[in-house]
Amino acid sequence: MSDAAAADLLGRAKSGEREAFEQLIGPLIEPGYHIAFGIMRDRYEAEDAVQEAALTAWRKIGQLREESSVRSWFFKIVVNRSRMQRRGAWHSVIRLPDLDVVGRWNEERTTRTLDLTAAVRELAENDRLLLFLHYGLDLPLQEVAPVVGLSPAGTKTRLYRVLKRLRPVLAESEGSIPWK
Amino acid sequence: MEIGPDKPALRDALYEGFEPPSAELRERVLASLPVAAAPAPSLVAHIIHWLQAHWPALTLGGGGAVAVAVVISVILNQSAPSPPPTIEVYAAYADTIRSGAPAAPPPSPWMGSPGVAFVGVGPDFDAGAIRIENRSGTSVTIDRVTVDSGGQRFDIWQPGLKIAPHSTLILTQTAVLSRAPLTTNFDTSEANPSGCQPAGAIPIVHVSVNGTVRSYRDVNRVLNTGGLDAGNCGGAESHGWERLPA
Repeated sequence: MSDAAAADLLGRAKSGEREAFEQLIGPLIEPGYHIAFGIMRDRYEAEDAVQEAALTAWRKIGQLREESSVRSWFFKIVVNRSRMQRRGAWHSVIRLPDLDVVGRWNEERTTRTLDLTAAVRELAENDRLLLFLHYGLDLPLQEVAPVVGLSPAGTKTRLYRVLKRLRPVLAESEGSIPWK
Repeated sequence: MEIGPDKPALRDALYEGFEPPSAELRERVLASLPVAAAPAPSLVAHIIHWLQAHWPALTLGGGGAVAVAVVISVILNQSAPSPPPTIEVYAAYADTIRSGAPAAPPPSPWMGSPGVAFVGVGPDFDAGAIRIENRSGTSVTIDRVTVDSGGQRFDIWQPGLKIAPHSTLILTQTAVLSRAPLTTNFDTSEANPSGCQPAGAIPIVHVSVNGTVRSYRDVNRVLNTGGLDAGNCGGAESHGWERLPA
């Protein structure tokens, strides 16, 4: 979608046109769910949080600044909503059946993933969120920044530190892990 | 120097244990949005502009103009309340597995009836039930339904349930806590005081639509089976639909 088309869509959504709002927010529902699930680890809670977030977005889209990223704005609402209703922390539960799912990969990668999983689980929640937004959802850092509440430069610095912390886990099989 | 990890491995770790959302999540979320348009975002801006254009002599700083505009917009919004939706609320009790007695049919309409959106889990039921009829020709989105009975608040249904025009929504147990004996998360008869004398208070059903909550009194105590736990007093608990007054 071109910038002009996106701006037009946002303008129509801000004027209360529901179809335009749905076109803007619809594609963000599933990634929003993943963010919420990462915070609450409960499917129903996560779906509830995304639903409430969409309702909040609908009510407040008039306050969204033209130059802001709709994705960042909506994901921030999802994060706030999820934290409000959170019952548990990120990765607070390891479910054995899920480990079987991991096992469809080759053994070396599975072992590495489990180590990484443990390491990721030990990170602070906001650091996991940062990683998830950037590596799980492929958001550029300038869009990650407002969601995690940091400046773009601060986000980059924080990401560097988090990756540095994880590096020993990844370094165990460094030969097969392409560090850029 | 920019560093980056093996993205697939990190992605696997980040998604560890994730459960996929419901297939219809997107449609459900979007359908749950209120039918009414979002509050006009530019109303305050329009009023500020109007004030500045028509009232230049008024010495209002930026903050003052905004404050005046907000007050006017609130008054305008309050002066045009949306009409209340045309809904009717009913209560019933479904007790389909009473031991020692033939299985009682659930109330009618029920799951699978024409025009019924059913929110509940079976196949066996020991639970109160709420039925909301949309008598209007437009969809109604129910923000939330809660039930107060026996000192407990039951808040077990997802918000934002949409009822199509001239259609029905039925809400009942959403979880089975044990199979034998059957225990559910909307067993409103269990909320009564112990004993076989009617002692339970009148249950109240709160239905929120468009931000307005209306309370419906279950004056005949259908939900709490007459104010006693009939299932433990030798009787069946099933009861057909009764309309609740607001």
